[in-house]
Amino acid sequence: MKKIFILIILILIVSCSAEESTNIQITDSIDTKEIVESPETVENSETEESEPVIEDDKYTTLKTSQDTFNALDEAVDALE
Amino acid sequence: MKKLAIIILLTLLFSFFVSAKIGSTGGVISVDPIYGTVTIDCELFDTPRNRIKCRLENNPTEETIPEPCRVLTKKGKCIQYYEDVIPCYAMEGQAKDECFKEKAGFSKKSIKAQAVLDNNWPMRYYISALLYDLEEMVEDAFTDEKIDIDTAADLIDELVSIKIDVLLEKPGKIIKPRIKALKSNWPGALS
Repeated sequence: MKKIFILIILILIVSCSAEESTNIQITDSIDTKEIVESPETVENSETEESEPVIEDDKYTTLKTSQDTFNALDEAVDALE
Repeated sequence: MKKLAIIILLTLLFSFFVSAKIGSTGGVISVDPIYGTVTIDCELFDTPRNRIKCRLENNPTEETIPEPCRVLTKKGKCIQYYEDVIPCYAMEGQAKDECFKEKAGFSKKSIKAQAVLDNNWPMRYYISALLYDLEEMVEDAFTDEKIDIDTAADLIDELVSIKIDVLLEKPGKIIKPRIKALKSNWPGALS
């Protein structure tokens, strides 16, 4: 009887530790997933930053005096 | 004899009214002896502002040297640029900007891209064209009676003065505050 009781306790302990191990494994897999995904994200953002800025090389619309003043401000800022 | 006296009196009265209109800052009035038409030579006024005001009042048909070119040593190139850029003012929107930039010698479409290559003369000619664009707006507003003649003359005089600084290769730090002041004094009727 005593042996059966010890056996039940052992089974319970084993089953408990097995469940805990599964949980750790799940968490581990999530962490791994995060770790695996993170470098990609970083890599992507790094790629975007390191790409050469494409100059917005287009003409200005000159309709109102405000448009002309805006172009003037930009041109004067660019002067030597 | 009596008729002659009346003619002399009328001529004196007429010349008094013309003189009063022009003021005493210079200028020459010539009356055609055959047709009696009055010609006012705005070029003989002593200051740019008076010449500008005279041109606004009388709308002379004869082409004169553009005011900013008069102070430059290389007038020819300046006059040529003014002649070249005239067709651009009939355009609108991006086409007008493209025309200004082409005449100014831009090899790029945007100011930023051009500044990397050459930010002196192409930029200065472009600024002159933009200032002349504002001048056209002032003239149109005066014609449409949105602003009075003195406001128009003051604004054009200031625009001409800034253009002179630009073409005399003054640095941006001198030109920038002048444009800022012009912008703050810009009449709402012209926006």
